Amino acid sequence: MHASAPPSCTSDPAPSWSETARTAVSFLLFLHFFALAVGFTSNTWSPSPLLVRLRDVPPVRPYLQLLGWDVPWLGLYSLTHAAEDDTDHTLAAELRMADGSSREIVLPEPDLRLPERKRRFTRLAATVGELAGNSTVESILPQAIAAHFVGQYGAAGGTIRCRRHFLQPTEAVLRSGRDEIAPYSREQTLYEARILVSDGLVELLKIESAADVAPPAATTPATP
Amino acid sequence: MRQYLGDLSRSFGQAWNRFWFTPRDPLVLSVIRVAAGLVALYLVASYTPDLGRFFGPGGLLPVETIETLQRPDPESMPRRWRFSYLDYMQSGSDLWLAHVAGLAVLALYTVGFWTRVSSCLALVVVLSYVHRGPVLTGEVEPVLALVMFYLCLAPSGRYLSVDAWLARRRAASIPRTEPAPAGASNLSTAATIATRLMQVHLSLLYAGMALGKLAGDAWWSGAAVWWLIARPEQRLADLTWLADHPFVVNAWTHAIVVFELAFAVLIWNRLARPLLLWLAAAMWILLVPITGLAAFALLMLAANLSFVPPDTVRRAFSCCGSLVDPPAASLVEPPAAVRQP
Repeated sequence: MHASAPPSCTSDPAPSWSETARTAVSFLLFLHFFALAVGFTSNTWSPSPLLVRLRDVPPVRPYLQLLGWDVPWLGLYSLTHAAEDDTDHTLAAELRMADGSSREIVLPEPDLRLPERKRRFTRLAATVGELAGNSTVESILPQAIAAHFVGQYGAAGGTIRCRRHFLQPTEAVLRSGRDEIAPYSREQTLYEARILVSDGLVELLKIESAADVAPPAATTPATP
Repeated sequence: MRQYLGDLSRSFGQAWNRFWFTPRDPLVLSVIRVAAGLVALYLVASYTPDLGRFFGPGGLLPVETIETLQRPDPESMPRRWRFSYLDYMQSGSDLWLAHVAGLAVLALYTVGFWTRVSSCLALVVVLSYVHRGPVLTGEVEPVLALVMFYLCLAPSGRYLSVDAWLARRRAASIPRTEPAPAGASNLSTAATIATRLMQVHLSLLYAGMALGKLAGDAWWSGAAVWWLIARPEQRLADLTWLADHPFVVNAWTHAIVVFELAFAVLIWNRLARPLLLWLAAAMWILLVPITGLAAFALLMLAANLSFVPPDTVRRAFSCCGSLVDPPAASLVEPPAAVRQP
């Protein structure tokens, strides 16, 4: 593999665009990089008041959001923080059917083969987990998910919960042996609500008691 | 002082023009287009089994739910500006029709048919899925959007495309009575602008990745790679046996951070560039088994190609024969002198 020739190389062809075209494009490049720089630096945990104001410059936010670039770059590409919020999440619904039987659904479903499908359901569950505790928005996604389950299976009620699964540290693996150890050290219920169905409408009644528990073998996601 | 400022301004202007406006061969962008098209096709096609479940009537993510989720955020843009044509698909059959049409556009983009049009349409398709289900997106979508956006600006269909093949066939069928216009070349200023934009954006992205990692304790303590390995839902291979080799885990962790920091800065150094590009290939390939981010790794590898000169890519793709040969005259930008009235 060879490196690119330096821009100053004498064999470079001369610019073929007129000066006016180059000036116009340079101005657009400036606007583009301004928006990009503001997007990069303001999507952090505590942006300065200046950065917050710069985001309000009229074209910046719409431009970034339209192109899907208004994302928290630092968090998104950290891959792992090994922190409290860096865990796997699942959504589980225990549905009570009209005939009295019950049905349990877990997302992501353990038998999903395509990694991207599994990742989408995991992200959905993680978003429910991230919003838990924010009373304004925490029930918005679970309500839509519960309504989907009720409509799909004809359930008469049930419970929906979002669980966080904590990973095993190296010390635990070394202590117990790789073959014996469970994939997760413990799990925590982040959000739990009762599903109420009346006249075809689905409502959620949040259950406040969330607790840490050891993972039951039956609900532990299988290792791929 | 006046002399100095004059020299400074002149040198800056010349360097700026050299950097952004020196025409270059769009071969590398054509290769990146094929890779980005394949990743986009995979991402959108992977929605197929769950299309109705996510976006259909009574699905997991009704449009109103996404709207309501975004409304409490005072910074959020009105939904109508986060354009997604999937928002307007009221029935299951409409949704399927739109999905199949989207896949067809991405297939045309990948094979390079009507590339100038299909590249813009392909970006609309990808962004529509991003905006329709923002809670389902992750690392790969913003990078895919940036690569596809920059490819829209350049003649990325000049090689490895149906367009080029058709142009070559047309050129062969017309008996040539006159020589090609003097100065006609396969170089393009738009290709330079797109390539440079991608390079600068990629450097920023690597800097963001490194800073993001440095914000977490695990990347300082050397345990971060273990936390990726220990995640059973994501990984493609079980490397938990590395728990017995903490030095390997530590070295791997620190190597990733050092590499990403170095890439953001040293990629602009001509001597360091080949080394960094090989290291990038190794890093992304090794991350796939433990993160499962195969599409993301492929896309990053493809985007890294923007730093590779066209001649090197042409040699690497010499097995493709005429697909990487200079294009027929009809696809080539006429020289500046010809364009001017």
